[in-house]
Amino acid sequence: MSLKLPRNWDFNLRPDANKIARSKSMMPAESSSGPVHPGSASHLERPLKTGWLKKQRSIVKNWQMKFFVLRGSILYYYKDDKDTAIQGSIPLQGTQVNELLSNPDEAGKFQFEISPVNADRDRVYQDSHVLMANSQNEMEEWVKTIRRVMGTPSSGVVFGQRLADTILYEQKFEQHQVPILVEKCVEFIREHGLSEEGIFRLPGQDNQVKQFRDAFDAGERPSFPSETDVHTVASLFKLYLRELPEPVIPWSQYDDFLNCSQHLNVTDMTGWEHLEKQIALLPPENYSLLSYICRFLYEVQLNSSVNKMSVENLATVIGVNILRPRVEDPFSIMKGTLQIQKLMTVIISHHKELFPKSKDIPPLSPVVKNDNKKSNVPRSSVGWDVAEDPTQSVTNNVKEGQVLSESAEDLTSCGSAAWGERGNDEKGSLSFKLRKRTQTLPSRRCTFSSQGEENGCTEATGKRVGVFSNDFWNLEPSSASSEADKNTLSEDIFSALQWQNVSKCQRSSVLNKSFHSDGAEVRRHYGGTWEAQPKSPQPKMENKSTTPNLTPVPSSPSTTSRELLIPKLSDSGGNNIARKDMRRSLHAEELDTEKGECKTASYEIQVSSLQKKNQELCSKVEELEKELMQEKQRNKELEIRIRNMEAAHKEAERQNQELDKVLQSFTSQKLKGRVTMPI
Amino acid sequence: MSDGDYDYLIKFLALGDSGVGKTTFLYQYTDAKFNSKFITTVGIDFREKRVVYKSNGPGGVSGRGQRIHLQLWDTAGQERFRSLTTAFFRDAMGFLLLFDLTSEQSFLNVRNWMSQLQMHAYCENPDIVLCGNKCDLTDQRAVKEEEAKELADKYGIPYFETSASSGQNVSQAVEVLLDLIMKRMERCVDKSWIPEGVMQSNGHSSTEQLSNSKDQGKCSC
Repeated sequence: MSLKLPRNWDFNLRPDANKIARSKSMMPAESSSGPVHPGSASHLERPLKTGWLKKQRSIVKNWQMKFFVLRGSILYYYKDDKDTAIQGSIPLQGTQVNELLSNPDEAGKFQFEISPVNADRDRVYQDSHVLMANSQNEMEEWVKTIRRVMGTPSSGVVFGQRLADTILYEQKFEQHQVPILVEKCVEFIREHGLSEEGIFRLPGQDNQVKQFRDAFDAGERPSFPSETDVHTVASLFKLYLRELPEPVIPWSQYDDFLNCSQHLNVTDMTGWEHLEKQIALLPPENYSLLSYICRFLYEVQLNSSVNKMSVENLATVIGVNILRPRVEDPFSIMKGTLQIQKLMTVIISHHKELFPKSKDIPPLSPVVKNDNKKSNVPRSSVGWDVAEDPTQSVTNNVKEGQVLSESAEDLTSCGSAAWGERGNDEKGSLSFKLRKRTQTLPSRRCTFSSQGEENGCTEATGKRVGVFSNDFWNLEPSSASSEADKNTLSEDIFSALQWQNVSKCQRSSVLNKSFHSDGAEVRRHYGGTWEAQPKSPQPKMENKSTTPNLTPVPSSPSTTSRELLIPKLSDSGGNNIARKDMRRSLHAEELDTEKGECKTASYEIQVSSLQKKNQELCSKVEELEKELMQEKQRNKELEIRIRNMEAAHKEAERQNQELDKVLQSFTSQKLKGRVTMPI
Repeated sequence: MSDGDYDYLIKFLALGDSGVGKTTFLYQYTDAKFNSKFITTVGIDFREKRVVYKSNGPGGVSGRGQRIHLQLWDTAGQERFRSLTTAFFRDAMGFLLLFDLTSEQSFLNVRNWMSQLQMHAYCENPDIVLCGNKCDLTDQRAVKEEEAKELADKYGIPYFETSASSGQNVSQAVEVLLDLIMKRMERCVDKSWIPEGVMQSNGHSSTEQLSNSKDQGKCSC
């Protein structure tokens, strides 16, 4: 009488297996990115995403089911997933993708639109495409993936954008330690949500969250209207963290962080030391953001008697958004949640020791760290004096750190003065951020006293892990009975892995160390470029007073953040020579005759035309350079992908074997059960 | 009764937005107590309870009841887990879909949960019971009973106004769900006595044919 499952569940599930198989192709996000793709052999590039979508025809407006494949920055569509002939393609460069908010009558129509960037939202353009997914989730996946493909740091997209890129982009507006979105959310919640029950736990209004997300992604940085539901803002905040292509705790450190939690108790200081070490290893932007979040969450829990969000609760709801494993399989995630909660609890409650204020990184840190490279970066308009006087730039080189950080501070203060009218409310926070960065890493040990609680936690972990390891595979009531079923199951898992693999790739992975450092370098150059910008109004004035004959070239306002070191260098070099020549001859002219003024005017014109040419050339070089970079990046991504594939394959094989074992034991169990079936 | 001594192991899964009261609902059901602690569920958890089920259907077998071991899975409602908990849907035979009567948003999200269920559960029309929880908080109520009833009717699922605090309707909701499951199983069992040929067509026929045969069709047994 120990029958656990009536035999007939099998029959129940048989047609269901069909359904699953069918839906495999219907749910691209989950499984269909398996090995079979149209044309996959003919393209080197692995599809970033594939799946069925309905496409609205441009004239008749009826819907047609097509199989879509996103490869590179082009969305191809096919008649079906076996067909190799491309029916059409949608180039994504220069387009935007938007979810079309469905009205209640059209519930169940999950539409999104790909249209040219400058398109007026109300008008329907010839070359815009309306697509429909099967579910909300699926649509979001598509939109996210497409955005990621199109997303360049200069587009202002926030969600799904790398943290470093967002910080970099936003330096254009002001100096920010964390993304503006995060600041805005925190400020709003601080004002409206500290005594709200279940803040950060309860979800907000989905459609509003989406509206805000779209607004931020469109480059806006709106403030939340005061009547906004504070839970919506909290949800937006969590969504941002979740959608970071690489989480706040980078994947490379995920396991290390989790391991810390196992050793965090009073008797064992190693966990604490590990944690400090890991935190010190975080990239500066991530460090700042984590520190900022923890400080705020600490503030929130001070009110826990009212808002009922204790440290543990906050750790539960925020931690999972900050610590995410690279491979998102539900079971490892569920297993990780307890450790994550424990770890986050510690980080939040001990944020003062873990993120001492003395270690706050001023927003300009990438520049400060940049050392000699930095002095090579022409400071746009500031460069007039500096670039002309070689000795000065040499001293710059020699003095390095101190001088640089000082000058960096100068710059910001100038910047804030010049930009005072715009960002007057930011001044307070600016002065806070400008605190000098100290390089010493305090190796302070902190006492940690919550033994009882910790022990409790460990016990609980044990219990729950048990749940996962023992119970889960037995839970598969359906698929264990026959060979065919067995295959389906393992296939499922394999395809799931495949999918994870793809999603990994989409996140353009910083898995590869060398790639990572590349990225960092580029970022630094950006830093240099941006850092100089706010100052431009000021030096212009100075220059005018001393050398009235020459107007300095302001850094082209259109400088994109893609700007690279090399073109900049050649630019300044060329400029220097040209300018020097002009100046020398100018001096001669002045000595020679009184008519000088007249001539200088003509020279001035020449100068400016030369400068114009220079700029043109410069932008060309930039473009080429950009292409080169993209090409390189693509290469690296491909390499990474190949590696990931191999790893995933191995992992899948291993899991397959394990599963086989489990299934065999289960089958034998089941057979026993059948013998004693009641009926 | 020793551990393995039961006739059926049935797995239910509670789902819904975070903070609607899934954990307290299940706690009220298994322990008949109200846990007023405000604790966010970490990941996934489960509670268990033994019940005896007596078939009372028209053609039901009277006599001794079936001993049921109920396993009630509790999922974290956090947004982060929404896409993850779906992985657990497939293992569950019945679903308790909860929303908070004092939160309109949680009610609106019922649609999303339903579509998730239809996509990821073991079949397209799994057994679901909709529960509007926190009905004791009458002064904070934000969802009308008629609205909820209407939605439940649209989906063809039973609806209960429950209170994990007072215990109102909690066990009724679970019992109705259990009843649905047992009925479904009985139908399966009945059909298994039908001659081979018919069984074949039921068990392996295309979904088109099955969808024609009314509500019990799709999950053909």
